[in-house]
Order: sequence, then C-alpha cells, then structure tokens
Amino acid sequence: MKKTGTGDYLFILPSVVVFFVVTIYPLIYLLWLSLHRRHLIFDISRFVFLDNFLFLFTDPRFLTALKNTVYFTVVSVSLEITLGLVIALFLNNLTTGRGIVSAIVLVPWAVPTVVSAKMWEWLYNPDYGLFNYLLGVKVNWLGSPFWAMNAAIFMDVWKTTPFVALLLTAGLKLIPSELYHAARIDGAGRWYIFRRIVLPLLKPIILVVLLFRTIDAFRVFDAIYVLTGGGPAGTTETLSIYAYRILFQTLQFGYGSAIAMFIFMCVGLISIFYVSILQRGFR
Amino acid sequence: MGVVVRLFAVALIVLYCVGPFIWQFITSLKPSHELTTLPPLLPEDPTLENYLSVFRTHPFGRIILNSTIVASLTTVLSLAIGSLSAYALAKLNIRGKALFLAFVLSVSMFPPIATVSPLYLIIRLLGLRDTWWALVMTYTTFSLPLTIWILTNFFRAIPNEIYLAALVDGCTPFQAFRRVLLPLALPGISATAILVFIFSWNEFLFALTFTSTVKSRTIPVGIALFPGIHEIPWAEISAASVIVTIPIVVVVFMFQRRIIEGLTAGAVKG
Amino acid sequence: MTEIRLRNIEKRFGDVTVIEGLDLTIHGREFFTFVGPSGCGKSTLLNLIAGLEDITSGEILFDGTDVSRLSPSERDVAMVFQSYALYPHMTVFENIAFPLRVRKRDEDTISSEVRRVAGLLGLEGLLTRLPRELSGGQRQRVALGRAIVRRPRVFLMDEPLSNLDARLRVDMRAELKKLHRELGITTVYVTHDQEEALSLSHRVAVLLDGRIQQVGPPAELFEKPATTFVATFIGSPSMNLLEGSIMERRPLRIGMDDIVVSPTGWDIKIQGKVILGIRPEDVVVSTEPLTDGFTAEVEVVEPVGSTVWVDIVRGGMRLRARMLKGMELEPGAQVFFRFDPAKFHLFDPSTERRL
Ligand SMILES: Nc1ncnc2c1ncn2[C@@H]1O[C@H](COP(=O)(O)OP(=O)(O)OP(=O)(O)O)[C@@H](O)[C@H]1O
Ligand SMILES: [Mg+2]
Repeated sequence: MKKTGTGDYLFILPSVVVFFVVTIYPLIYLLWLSLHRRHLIFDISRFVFLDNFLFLFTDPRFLTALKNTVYFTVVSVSLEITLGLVIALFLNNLTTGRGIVSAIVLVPWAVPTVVSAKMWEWLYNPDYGLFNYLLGVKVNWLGSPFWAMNAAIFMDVWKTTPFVALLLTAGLKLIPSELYHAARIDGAGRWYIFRRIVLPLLKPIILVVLLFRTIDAFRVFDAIYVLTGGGPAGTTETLSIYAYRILFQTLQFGYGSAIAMFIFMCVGLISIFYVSILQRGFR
Repeated sequence: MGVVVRLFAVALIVLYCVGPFIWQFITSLKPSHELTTLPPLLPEDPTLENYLSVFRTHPFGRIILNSTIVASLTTVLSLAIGSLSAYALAKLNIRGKALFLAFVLSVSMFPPIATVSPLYLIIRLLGLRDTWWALVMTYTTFSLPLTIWILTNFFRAIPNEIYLAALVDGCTPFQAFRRVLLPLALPGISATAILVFIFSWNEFLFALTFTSTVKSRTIPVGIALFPGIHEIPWAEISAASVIVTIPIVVVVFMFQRRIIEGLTAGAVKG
Repeated sequence: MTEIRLRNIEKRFGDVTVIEGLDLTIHGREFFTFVGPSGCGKSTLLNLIAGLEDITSGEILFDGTDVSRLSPSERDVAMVFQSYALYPHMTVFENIAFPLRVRKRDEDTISSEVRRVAGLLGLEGLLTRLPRELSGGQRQRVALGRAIVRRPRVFLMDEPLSNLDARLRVDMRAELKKLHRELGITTVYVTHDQEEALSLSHRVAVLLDGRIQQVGPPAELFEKPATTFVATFIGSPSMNLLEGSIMERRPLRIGMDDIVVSPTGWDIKIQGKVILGIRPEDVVVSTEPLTDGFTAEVEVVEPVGSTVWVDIVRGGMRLRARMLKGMELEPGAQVFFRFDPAKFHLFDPSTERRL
C-alpha cells in the first residue's frame, strides 16, 4: 500500500511482547509442567514424560469431570441458541422500546458471574429460596445429584441467552426486508420463511455464536465453582474446577497442568472444528 | 401478533432478565430474622443495615477500590497497546497481518485455566502476588484480542484517503494515528473501553488465584468468599451484589448501543 | 517551480504490473495532466510521486534530486483527493491549518495563513463549520485550501472535480486555472475526463494500462493522435475508425467497402490494410447531393445543443457525422455524406500507431 518502514513494526511490538510474556511463554511452561511430577509443598519436580496424560484416562474423577463438562456444554449451548433465537426474532419485530428492552436484556450478561451465581444460590435455597416457595415444593436443588447440574445449566442459560439473542438480532438486521416481502408475495408462510430464508442467511452468525458459546461453556469455572463448588459428590465438577482443585488445593502442579493442557487441546479442537465449517461456508 | 401478546412477551422477557435482581434487592432490605420466614415476600421492616454493614464490618470499600483501579488500569493499557496494533493492522504495510490476527483470535479462545498455573508461578517469582499489577497484566493481555479485533474493524472503516491525506500533510505514521485516526475511531474506542472494563470488573479465576488478602482482592472474589460466622450472610451478600450491580446497570443503560456495536463488531465480522 | 523527472518507473502489486517503463519530465510551473480510462494506473502514479507508495524500480527526481526513498512529508508535496479526504472531526479552519500545525508553525502564522487562503478561496464565512456541514463545492475548496496553505513544491490532484455536478465542475476548472497562475506551483493533475484535461493543462499524457500512449500539448493530442487509442479517447464524440485498403500511394487512394477516398497530406510507406480515422465534425451530412459525396442511411439522430450528430450506415460501414444546420431527419432516411480529405488520420493496423 504505502511506504514500508521497519518503524511500522514498532506499532505491534507492545502487543507482541505482552502476548509472548502472558500467553505463549506460560503455554510452553504449562506443557513443560504437564510432563513433570511436580508438587509445590514437597518441592518435588521429576520428569515423567506422558505419565500424567496416561493417568488421566484411568482417573475416574477426571472422567466424571469430562462427562459433566460435555453434558453442561451440550445442554446449555443448545438451550441458549434456541431460546436466544426466539428472543432475537421477537426483538427484531419490536418497533417501540427496542433500546430499553435491549438494555434490560444486557443486564444479566453484564453482571459478574459470581454475583449471579450467588443470586441463584439464594433463589435455589432449599429452605428459604424463592423457587421452592413459588413452586410450592421442597427440593434441594443444589444438594441433589440429579438437580444440581441442571440447576447450574439453568443459571448459565439465564445469564448468557441475552448475549446470544443480541448477536442474533444484529444478524437478523443484516437480512434485507425486501427478502421477507418477496417471499411473502411468493406465498410463503411464516415458518417456511424462517426455515428457508432466515435460518440459512443467519447460519454464519449462528456458527460464530456457537463457537463462542461452546468454548465458554467448555471452560466454565466461576458459575459452577461459586454455585455448587462442584458438589454434591462431584456431580457438578467440571474439568476447569477439577484442574483448579488439583492445582491450587492439592498443589499437584504437574498433574493439574496436564488436565489444563487437555482442556486447552479440547478448546483448540472445538475452534478448529467450527472455523473449518465457517470457512467452508464462505467458499 | 396482537398488541396484547406482544406486551405479554415483552413483560415475560423483562421479568426473566430482571426477576432475580429484584429478589436480590428485596433480600438486601430484609433484617436477618426475616430471611428465614418466607411468606411474606416483601420485607415487613425494611432496613439499610445490610448495606452499612457491607462497608462497616467488611472491607468492601477497599475491595471496590481494588476493582475500580484494576479495571481502569486494564482499560487504559489495553486500549493504548491494542489501538497501536489495530492501527498498524488496518493501515500500515506490515507483513504477516493475517497470521497475527489469527493468533490474536486464538488467544481470545484460550481457556484461562490453561495459563493460570504457569502465570501463578511467574507472578510468584516476580513478587507480584496479591498486587493489582498481577491482575492488570493478565487482564490487559486477555482483553487485547477483543480490543485489537474491534479497533481494527473501526480503523479499516476510516477511508484510506484520510490516512493518506494526513501523511501528505506532513504527519509521521504515529502523528497520523494520534491526530487523525484515533479521534475518528472514538466511538470504537469507547465501545471497546466499556467491554474491557466490564470484563476486568467481572473476572474471577485469575483474581481468585493471584490475590490473597483484601489488599488486592476484587469484587467477584470478595463476594464469592464473603465471610460468615455460622450461616451464609445472605442479606449482606445481597446488599453487596446490589452495590456492584448498580454501576453496571447504569453503564449498560447509558451505553447500550455502544456495547451492542462493540459485541457485534467483534462477532459478526469475525 | 519544481521540475519532476520520472525515470523508467515501474510499479508492481504482487505480480500485477500497474506501471511499466515510464519516462517523463514535468517542467517547473507546468500544469501537467494524466488522463486515461479507469484502472489505467493514474492514481497509482500520483501516489508514487507523492511517496504514498514505493516504486518497484526506477527513480523520481525533484529538481534533479532523487526523492524516491523519501516519505511524503519529506517530499513536500500537497495532494487533493477525489473524495477530498477532509478530516471529519476538524472544522474548516483546523482542516486548512493542519499541515501547518504538524509543522509546528506558531499560532499567529497559522491564523494569518489560514485566513489568507480562506480569502483566496472564498471560505471566510465557513471557517467554524465541520466538513459534513458543507456542500460538495465548498468541501472541494477546503481540500484545495489545505493543499495550498503551505506552498508545497508540487501539487498533486487526483480527480478533484469528479464528485461535483457538471456546472460546478466547469466553474472550478476556471478557478483551478486561475489559482495555478497565481501560485505558479508545478501541478500534476489526474482525470479520466479528456475535456477537463485538455481545457486545464499545458501538457497532457494519455495513459493506458500503465503505459504512456502520447504526451503533448492539448492541441497536438487532438490534431495528431499518436495511436488509435488516443484518437478515440481524445475528442467528443469519438473519432470514427474505419478499415480501408491502400489502392494507390501517390496520389493516395484508399478503398473502403465500395467507396474510394483520397486523404491529402500523407506520404505513406506501407501497403495493404490501413485504419482511417476521421472526427465526426469532419464528416458532413446533407439531404442534398454533395460533390464527392456518398449515400447512406440514417440510423440514430442525436441532437446535443447547437450540433446534431447522426449515426449513418453504408453497407458494412458505420460512422458518426455532423449534420448541417436546419435539417430535419428521421431514422431510415437516405442522406448524402462527404469526408474532409485534409482531416483524415491514418494508422497502421498492426501497431495501431499513426503513420
Ligand atoms: N493495492 C493494490 N493492490 C493490487 N492492485 C492494485 C492496488 N492498487 C491498485 N491496483 C490496481 O492497479 C490498477 C490501477 O489502479 P489505479 O487506482 O491507479 O487506477 P486509476 O487509473 O486511478 O483508476 P480510476 O480512474 O478508477 O481511479 C488497477 O487495475 C488496480 O486494480
Ligand atoms: Mg484513481
């Protein structure tokens, strides 16, 4: 385009340095840690190569955490996309008060996850919680192995659906209204228009949102950590929580890093999967 | 759709989003003995005692100060570093732009748990444990992808001729950035600033790991670890939650359009 | 009064060559124009002179000094862009003052210089407005003001009038000319409008696919086009190009379809095919029989103000001609036409160059 000077690279230098110090170097360090048996208290550090990774698949607690994480991810993301789409279609049709409603919808997304987790913990309270009172039941939502995970999912759906809905609304806005009119004139019904026109045109954005949400759900930590702490009996313990516990409560930095590395690789695979679908769509 | 159905739907959505907050607010006004009796829903003897105690018996003032400082410093640093890169990516002729952007995007997908343990060791080594800087450094890095991504789109949207005109008028690339491009990208800057601020205000995992005392503890950790003697002090937690939610609600209502702009610039163009 | 020399300039984007082997000297104080169709490389060339792009090879000299590696600000050029490129966040005053501020002139100088320029361009009343509060013509003036405020060595203008309406465009042409006379700064101008090029410039270069087709004063381009491209590009409506074959060289007789013409003033060496160019204004059409005339059928009649152009067909030959005043013609009518034998242009069909 224009004059090239080596000076131009100075503009990206700060970012490169920061990225190197805070992401690349730690990642290499993590890999190195994950190949060691390392314990902070006993000051042990021994190279064990892939032992930590091999141990992962015989560790029942890890397998449960993996299963919990996948369940949480699949269920919460499906619910969020579906519900988000419904709200988006509705917001898109809204003529007055859209600004206010959008702002209100943003609030759950914007508050700290910790605050919403505490808020929901109180709503779920078995004795004095609003839910049991309104439903007229006495369920120990967070204390029962069956309900706990679903309660956490419910909270996550509440918190992130707005984000999904707003992104999808932005996507809907990009569809020219002539298209709806043309389809209407061609005699297409609402459902038909939605399936044959809206959904296909929305597909790229849905994929982007799915990518963000899947990754976020897969690495979930604070929501569940604060809400249930992984309990009862490990039924809500996700990979991130398990890794955190191993790292910072039992101080096994080697094995904990191996779990963290595993999460990193899963997230990498998930992104590659979505990005490849996205790229195929654009060709 | 009939007007009634529409109104009903709006009411439903609003209740869905706001309901839990209302309950939180109601709880925060209840004296502790009323917490354990459910009907009535509303406090019979509403009190501000919980709010006062958040500051009097707990160091919440200091915690809010920590959060404010950490989030502000992060926002400033992230914008300063990120806008330079975004400008270079949008307007300057440097090699490997696509690669750099791809890397930036992949950083935004890094699971925090993957870097928390090595970063902890690094921070301990640097003697930065339990300081604002540990958090500022980490948050700045992890908010950079968003900053770079959004601002690159904003800088790209500024016609190239304006940038070229600045060069011809005698600007160095940096002057063109500071005097012409940066002021023109102000809407993008403010959208990004809000998002980065919210991100740093809300972050939990790094804050939980890197802070150990009230010296640097931020709001999410403060609320998660809210100390109680026997029972969990729900009323005080509620009061604290309301306190930290209010500024966010204000920001969201004031900058609703900007936030959505920023989010969609980040996602739709990605 | 800077003289600009372009020496064997080449510009490539990746493996696309946009400018190729370009050699040219633009004299000090000259108003020089590059004209050519869209995409021929005009803007690229201007950006190369400005230093906004790097040349791939060659040299650019200002008054004999090599500036090829200097940045735009070091070259001390000013540029007016097609879109004006005013800074949207600055008032008219600040826009014009900007080049001075960047050069850290003191506040008094800035203020007096901006006012002087504003006076010159009739912008005095608009100094506190923002660009978006101005009309197209006013923005144009601000862009000019920003360029002239610091008396650069060279003015570069990239289609500065193309966003204006037809009327304003003609007015601004006159102003540009006047401004150039007053300031006496070497000006390189780019346009795709040949009329603009001819009316403004001392000399014009016609550019096609990154190569210069012809350089010369406007009259020369019009009267002696060097290639068929220049012949058709310069002048409106376009010159007719017809195919013929040489029947006799002295005196010259050329056959086209079933007619024979005898262009005068040519001494040609080649044999066989030839391209004949004739401007529509040099072909006369009449309803009455003409001496040395031929018959043809009217296809389209196109009145443009004082002149009426007609497209006529004779066998496989089709050309545009000027109709004599006071005639009424309908498509399909039989007419007579005649060429002015002194006004033919002959081109070699293999090289498309003038013979
Ligand atoms: N940065 C670039 N990368 C690749 N090709 C380019 C670049 N800039 C210009 N070109 C190509 O160079 C050629 C000349 O472009 P240029 O902008 O100089 O044309 P122009 O004569 O100014 O046309 P117009 O009258 O439309 O402004 C075009 O074919 C264009 O596609
Ligand atoms: Mg151009």
